[in-house]
Amino acid sequence: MTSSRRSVPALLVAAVLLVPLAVAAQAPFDMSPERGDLPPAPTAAPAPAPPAGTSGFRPFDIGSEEQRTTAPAAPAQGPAIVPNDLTRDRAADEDKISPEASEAATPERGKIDRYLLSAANVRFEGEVGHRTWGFSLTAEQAARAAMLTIAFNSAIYVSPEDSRLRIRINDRQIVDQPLAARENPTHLDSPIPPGTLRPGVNIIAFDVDQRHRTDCSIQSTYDLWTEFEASGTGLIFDGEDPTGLASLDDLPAVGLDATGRTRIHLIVPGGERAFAESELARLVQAIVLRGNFRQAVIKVEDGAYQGPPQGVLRLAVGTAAELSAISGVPADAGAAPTVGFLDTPGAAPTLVISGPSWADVKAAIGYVADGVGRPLGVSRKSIDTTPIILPLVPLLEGDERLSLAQLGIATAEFSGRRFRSQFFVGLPGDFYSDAYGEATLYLDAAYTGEVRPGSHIDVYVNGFIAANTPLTSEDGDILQHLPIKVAMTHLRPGVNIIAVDAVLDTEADAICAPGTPAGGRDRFVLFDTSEFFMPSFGRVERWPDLSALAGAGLPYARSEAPVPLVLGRINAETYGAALTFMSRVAVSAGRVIPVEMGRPDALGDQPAIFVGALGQFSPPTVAELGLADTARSKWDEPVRSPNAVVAVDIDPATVVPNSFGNSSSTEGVYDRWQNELVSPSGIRGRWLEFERWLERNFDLSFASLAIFAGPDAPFDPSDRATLVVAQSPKSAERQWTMVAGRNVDDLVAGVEAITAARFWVGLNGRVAAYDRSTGVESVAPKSERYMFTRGFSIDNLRLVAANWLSVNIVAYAVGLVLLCCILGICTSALLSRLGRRS
Amino acid sequence: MSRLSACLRRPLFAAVAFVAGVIAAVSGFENTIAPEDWAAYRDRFVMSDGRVVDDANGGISHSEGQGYGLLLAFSAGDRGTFERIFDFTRNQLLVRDDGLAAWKWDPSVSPHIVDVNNASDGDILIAYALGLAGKAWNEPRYTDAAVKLATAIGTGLFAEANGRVVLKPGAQGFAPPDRPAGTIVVNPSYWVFEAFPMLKELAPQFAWDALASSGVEIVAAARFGSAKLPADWVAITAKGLEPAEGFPAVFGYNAIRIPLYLIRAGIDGAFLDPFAARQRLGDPAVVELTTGKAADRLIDPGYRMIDALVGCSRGTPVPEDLLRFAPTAYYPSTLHLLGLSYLSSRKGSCG
Repeated sequence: MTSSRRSVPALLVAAVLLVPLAVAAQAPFDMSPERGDLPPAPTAAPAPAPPAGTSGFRPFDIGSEEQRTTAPAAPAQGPAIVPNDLTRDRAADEDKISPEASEAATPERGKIDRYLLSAANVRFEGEVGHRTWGFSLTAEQAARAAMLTIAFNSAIYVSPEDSRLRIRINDRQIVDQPLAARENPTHLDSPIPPGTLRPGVNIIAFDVDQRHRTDCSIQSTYDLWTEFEASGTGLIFDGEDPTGLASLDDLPAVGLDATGRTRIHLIVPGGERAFAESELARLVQAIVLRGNFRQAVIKVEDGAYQGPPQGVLRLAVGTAAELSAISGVPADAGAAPTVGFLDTPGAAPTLVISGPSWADVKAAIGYVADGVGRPLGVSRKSIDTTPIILPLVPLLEGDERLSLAQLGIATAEFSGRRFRSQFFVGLPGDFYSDAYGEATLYLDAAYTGEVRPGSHIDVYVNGFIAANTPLTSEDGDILQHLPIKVAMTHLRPGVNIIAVDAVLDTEADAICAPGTPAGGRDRFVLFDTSEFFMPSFGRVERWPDLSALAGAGLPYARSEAPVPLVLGRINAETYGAALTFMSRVAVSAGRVIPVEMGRPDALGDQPAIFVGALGQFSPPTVAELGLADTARSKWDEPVRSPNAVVAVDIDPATVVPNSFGNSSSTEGVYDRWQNELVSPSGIRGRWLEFERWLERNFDLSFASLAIFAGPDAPFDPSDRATLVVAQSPKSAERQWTMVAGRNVDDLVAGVEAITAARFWVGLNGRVAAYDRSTGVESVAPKSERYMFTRGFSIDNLRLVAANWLSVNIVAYAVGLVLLCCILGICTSALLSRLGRRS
Repeated sequence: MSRLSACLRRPLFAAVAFVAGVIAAVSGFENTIAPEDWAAYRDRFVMSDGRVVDDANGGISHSEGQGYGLLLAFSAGDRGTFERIFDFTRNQLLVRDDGLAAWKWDPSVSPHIVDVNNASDGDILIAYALGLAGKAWNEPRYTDAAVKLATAIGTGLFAEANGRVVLKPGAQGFAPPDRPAGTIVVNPSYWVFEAFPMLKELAPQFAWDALASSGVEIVAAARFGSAKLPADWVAITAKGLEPAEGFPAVFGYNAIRIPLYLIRAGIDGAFLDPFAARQRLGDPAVVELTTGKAADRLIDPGYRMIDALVGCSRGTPVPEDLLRFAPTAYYPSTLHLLGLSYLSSRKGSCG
């Protein structure tokens, strides 16, 4: 960890580390200027994992693991493991495992030193599942003996004989274990062979292979799942206090908490005055980028945090005098700008950023934040998703070809019935080809004669089907670069999941003799030479467009001037929520977004971000953002118990006019027949029929034929929604984004929820509303503004126009008719001048 | 707007408008009337002795008005006025042996009770409001009175017609022997749907759910003339439904409140179709069913409020001017406050 080069900025010559506070072995930070141009980890990342079974694999005795999961026995194998961590009572632990329980985990339960999963539960569905990601360790942690512990359970249908879980860390097999359904989650501890872990990024890969106990149908594969619990899955290090961080480069080693989030606790004794400092927001974003905390939650803390230390970074910012109350920070430490970790054995790491005066504090912040993230105008080649997805997700700019090997997919042979393989591609924030564009998957694959015609290969984009290719040969086939057109409809800015499903129908499965579900010979193979081709696509920024904000931080990501951040109230809760949101935007943007505290009355036409409870903003502001004024005053009212709803078992559609009960009105019976047989009648009926025909045959609805889109109607959040993210509609001339909770508590909880990966990708359109039970629901804008921010090019204009005309088909039709008219007029004008008059 | 559009998307003819489970009457309407609106209403129509005055009908009072007064006082959270209205109702109207309320009270005549017959909607409204208040304010006197009245309704006002349970408009005079054999006359607007869950709680031995179902069946099926609307008074015969003889065949002051009751009770929006269709003819009106023409335009904001609520359930916002209350005459003002109370309970939205 010793830096080889040290070019210390002149300003910080006086900077001293809090030597008395830091651990003895601590080395000064690497302050070389190029540091931080990239988030720290990936440069040290090893190459993507080669397929299992190649060199580097060391067989591992897993024979006795089954018993160990149930018995509180001390493990014998794994020579380097000191078994003190294993002596805990598993039986007692099992009752306690749940995502909720882990929140308030007691120190005993918190024996896991590093959680590994990026969500509270990670689920693998179907017959095959694979996932690779990375976690960072400090040099000290990597040197220790360690053990991997996992908590998981499977569906009751999973056949233990034929289903396996394999986990590799840095290409070394750590777990190879049959899967089975149990009443309680299985806890499994596996020693990690010494030398496996290394400082910096370590790569962990989960492979799940599942087969049905009894059924061979394709439908049955949907019943198979294995789920891992974040609160029971992680690393246990040998010895005490393995969380000590020594330098800023160790930040990624803060890791995750038991729900997959990283929590940054801000300790700012300066209070509101500190919140007003734009430098503080910059610091937090820089820390998030340096640590690559993709799901950070920022909270302002009073300095008395005693909870579990995993995944928590405490950040104390203030003058030496202000921080003197915090234990461990000596009052005389502030002779110069100061950055350093407190020595906090067993507790969450605490980073102190201080100095004698605020000017010095700012200098110290600059030391942490300068040069972090990508400079303006420089585009990334990939999105650093290390803590969630590896290999890094390539950021496509168009006209690119990537092999599946490059995308992290290895050649795989398959003997089951539904093969699935998925990869990730990134798109820039101004991606605009969703209406007409098509990417191509050049498939290298083969299937045996066993596979019957009627089998097919499906491609899903972000969970939506985008292509379907039948397998037609009766004698098997080798597909060599078979092009499959993948509609771009569901691609969006940011990270996209593309899944290739092979649905294989065989005679053996139709018969399903005993033993068949396990599968015999391989039927299908997908080669890693298959390629994904992304053609050139239209690029134009749109407003409003929450997906660009979520995927790439646009439009704020390209702002040079500080973006005003307007808080509904300047208090700890709102400030924490605002920074949580900004940090997530910064992660998407890959750079620190400059912000300053703004006041609503002082805003001109500049872009701005509002965070607060909706009722805290003035009616004009709320109206500007396209939200209903009634929501401002009424949204936060307590939800009433619903009015009595009267139960009636009458179907209005079957009521016969003027009949009642068992009456025999001929007229009524006639009407009913009339309704059922000829309905709907008359011109209206014909019109309806025409509409349906259009929709059926051409996928056209009259909504898409609107020529002049009306203004966006004010959005009125439902009573159940607790948070809205809204962008001012096109008519509102300003690029304002508002994150508004029903009240401050809902704001804090809602922002934490939507910044989690699974909801963040749901942000879309003009307004997105978050509801605890149903997730994020978005409202598309009726009209959009277009901004060419990348300079003018005819080619791009053509692509954008093609997409625009695909969306606005009436404009296309009118344009076509106009062109025809012009052609007609020209032709007749020309002809009238030529030739001999008759 | 998302809820409104969601409401629009809902299949117009939802399969079966059925809400499963035991539904307890809840005080969803408690404190849904603004104090100033209620004060304006109270000062105009509620006497100091708790009598609710129908000023457009010679200043008389009736059981329906007392029931509305109780319901509005409860909705406004005005316990004092509620108690006074209850006092008057108990002392002056609840004088019948069968426990039902005499329907008509005239201050200018002595004795004041001009017609000792009951009106079923008045009885239902009184029992409902007492039940709500007894439960919300934990007042056993109200609950006891409500149970008695609900039992009297179940005992005296249920009748059977074509295999269905229906509500007689009064204890006497609407079924044989007063009517031809096989004929029973009902008033669809006497089905105060929102009250039935509460009445079921108060007197569970009666078939309130079946009664609610027959009510919506009549509302959906009674579509007379070219206007295809229910009449104020409907005769049920073996053949089916027809406008009742001896009453004007109109969609009038009675039937006009049916959509309000449907909406307040949260009944499926498809049942509102005939009333939404009526709106295409223009302002609220009394409609002659024989000709399908509007006989009387009804311009009071209270009537327009009902149309606005029907529109609101289909996505049209309620016009601003209707969100302010100013008393006009007793009946439309009452309907207006009931509509505002509903909107307030739904936080200004519908559907």
